Amino acid sequence: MKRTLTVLLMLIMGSIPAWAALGSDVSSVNSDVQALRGQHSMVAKTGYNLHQITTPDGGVVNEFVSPAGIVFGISWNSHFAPNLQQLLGSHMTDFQQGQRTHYVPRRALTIQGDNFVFVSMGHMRNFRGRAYVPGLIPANLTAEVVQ
Amino acid sequence: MSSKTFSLATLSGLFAAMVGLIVLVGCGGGSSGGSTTTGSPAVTLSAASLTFSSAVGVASAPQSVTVTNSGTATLDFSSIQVTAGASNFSASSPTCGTGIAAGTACSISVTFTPTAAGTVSGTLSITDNASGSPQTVSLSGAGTSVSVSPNSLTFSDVAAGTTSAALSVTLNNVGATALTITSITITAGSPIFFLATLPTPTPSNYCGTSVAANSSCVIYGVTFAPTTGGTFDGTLTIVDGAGTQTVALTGSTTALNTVPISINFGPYGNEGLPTATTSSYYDAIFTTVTVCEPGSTTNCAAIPDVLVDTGSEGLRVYASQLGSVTLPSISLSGGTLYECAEFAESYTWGPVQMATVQIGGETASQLPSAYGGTANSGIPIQVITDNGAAPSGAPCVTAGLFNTNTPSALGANGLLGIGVSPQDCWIGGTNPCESSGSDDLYLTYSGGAYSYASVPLAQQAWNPVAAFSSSDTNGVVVTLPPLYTPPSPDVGAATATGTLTFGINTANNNQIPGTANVYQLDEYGYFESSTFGGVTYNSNNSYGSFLDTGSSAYFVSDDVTLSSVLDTSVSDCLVGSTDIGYFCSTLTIPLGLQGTNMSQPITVDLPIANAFTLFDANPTFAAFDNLGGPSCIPATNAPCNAATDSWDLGLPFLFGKTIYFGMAGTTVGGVTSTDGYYAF
Repeated sequence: MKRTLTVLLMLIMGSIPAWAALGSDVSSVNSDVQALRGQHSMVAKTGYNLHQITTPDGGVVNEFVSPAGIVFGISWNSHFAPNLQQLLGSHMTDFQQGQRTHYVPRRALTIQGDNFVFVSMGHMRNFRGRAYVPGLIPANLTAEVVQ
Repeated sequence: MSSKTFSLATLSGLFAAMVGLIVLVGCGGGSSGGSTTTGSPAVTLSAASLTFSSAVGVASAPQSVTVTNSGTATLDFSSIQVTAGASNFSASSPTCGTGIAAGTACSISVTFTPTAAGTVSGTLSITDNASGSPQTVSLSGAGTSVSVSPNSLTFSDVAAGTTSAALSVTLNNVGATALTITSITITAGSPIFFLATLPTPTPSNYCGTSVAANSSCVIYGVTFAPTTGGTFDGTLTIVDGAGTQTVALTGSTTALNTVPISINFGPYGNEGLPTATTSSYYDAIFTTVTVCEPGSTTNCAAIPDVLVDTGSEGLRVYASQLGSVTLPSISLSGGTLYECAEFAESYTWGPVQMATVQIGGETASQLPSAYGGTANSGIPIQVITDNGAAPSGAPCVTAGLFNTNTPSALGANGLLGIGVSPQDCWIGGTNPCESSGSDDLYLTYSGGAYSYASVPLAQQAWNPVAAFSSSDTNGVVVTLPPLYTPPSPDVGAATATGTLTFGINTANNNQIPGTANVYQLDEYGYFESSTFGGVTYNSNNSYGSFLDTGSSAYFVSDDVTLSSVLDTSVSDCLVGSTDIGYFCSTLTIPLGLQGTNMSQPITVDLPIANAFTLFDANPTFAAFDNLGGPSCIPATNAPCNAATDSWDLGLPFLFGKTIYFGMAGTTVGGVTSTDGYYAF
């Protein structure tokens, strides 16, 4: 069996700019593409732009960008757990505060706060979820577009 | 469930029969009272004589005599007794009582217990109101001076391929002279039954060539060593100066392909009622897994309290559970292979190493040769580093997953991942852990640094079932009995036990019944769709639903959605202002489930009780079939309405069911299951 081996030192990952998508300017999408080493595409939708990043393992990350150029939501569907440090940026703190301090095995987690909503589920081999900032969703859209 | 229902029906049927009997006796009493004045009883015996043989002081097998009243009136007994030889023979006749009606019969049981060697005779007499009374039966008994005790041996639950503990038989010589022993042999059932060599040091009372008068000796080492499953019979025969004595041997095996599973609080016990920050581990299901150095049967650690998880793949045990067992690491691309295995909320970190794995009577000691496995090379398992942590850039860390790096953090000594995939990175026929540049589960360590690694299936953590040396590699069957029987209330139980059976349709004990529905899964191990409240959620464009023994409740939907669809108030249990993730409402949730092979969903009802009511009523209970919680937990007290539409049917769903988890790539009902299936 022919194998392709990619060796990347973790140090390189640590050097990626800390700009993150959720709540940030659309230019932060580029740093996500770089961090995830993915392929990028963009589709104009009614009332927002959908930026899609396809990762090397076939996972998909969607970033939802308002006409004002702000990333108001993200979603993912991938074989492995998503890089939330990168994708949530400053909202990583909201996610961590919402996690329970005592582990009880379960396969789905939703954290619903006034300024941050996080939905995830999955099991080994597939992880899905979405996160958004309700206050950043354009007035003519609902949270349902973040899928 | 069905056996309980059957016993209830039997009881009510019995009651009806008793009522009928009372009525019949009432009616019949009057009419037979009239007839007894005109007829007369007559006695017929089934035997005129009985012959016995037994050792001195040992009761023979009983023999019976049937007394039939062939006359036209009631036969009244005044006595049934042994009138001669009463010191050697005894009789009992509980069914005869004081009399029997015309046309009926009763039975007398006679036993011979000789007081001395030699032949004795006796008489059984039946004194009654029939002509010819007393009727008699001649009794003859041969008392021998030798006996064996016990006269039968039973071996049960012996695993095929193993050897039972040795049992003993005592040979008693009650005669006044020494007894010569000619031979002691297994005359039937050899070599499954055999006589082992004498224990060391040699006991002084073993049976040699003779037994002194009024003395006994012991036959050591009667052993059962089945090579295949089943029930076996044999005979141990002793030939001596008094004749021939036999001992009946029976042995049965434990099914090779089963292992007990039990639901309890696990290795850390009952931690009390849930608080804002702690909880006992409810509805957790454990078994014992033995991990050996590759090919070894002695350098092994039997690890109890390993969580049984159909929601993941691969065996993972904490290094602290292995004791002195040292497993070889895996070298890949000049480094040592490590894994950060990802679960929905947590990760386990540690090296992947090669081991022989034993579960019940099944063994995985090598990978299939197609994966480069050679005899006794072991299979890859993850050894979790106690108190370890994945490097800061690893995907499991950047995902913010909870690090379960001690048995107490996990609540178990390891995880037995026996889901529907053979390896933990085999997904829909692809291996993304071997793709270029993937931020996946595996790293190699070399020269002080971790690197991403491209990992073929042969080096990934294997679902041990897929590597069993038997043919039971195509899935598992989980059977849990019902936790309660209506009309008793469904309050849970302190503990519960069930059976994990390996293989599907490979043995008598793992056949999918014709009444079961087969749900083919999608490439991620989800139902194709779930339907609730008239809305169908397809796994392709929504979230996934699945069965999972590793989830400790039904984790379903959210309070707002449930309240709306079920038209009832649904709320979560709160400790202070903290939502602890269980429902504090009583619900029945109808959920439609559809496999990729089906055109319509099949609806199942999920019963959910108020968790605080359950916990408060029985604080020592660990097993519940109606524990549920929302998939949506609010960070504030605002009701949650952002459900995942993911239906995680955890352990409570399995009570009272037998569920088949079919491995991806196997065949069921003549159809190849590309991505695995459930059947129930």
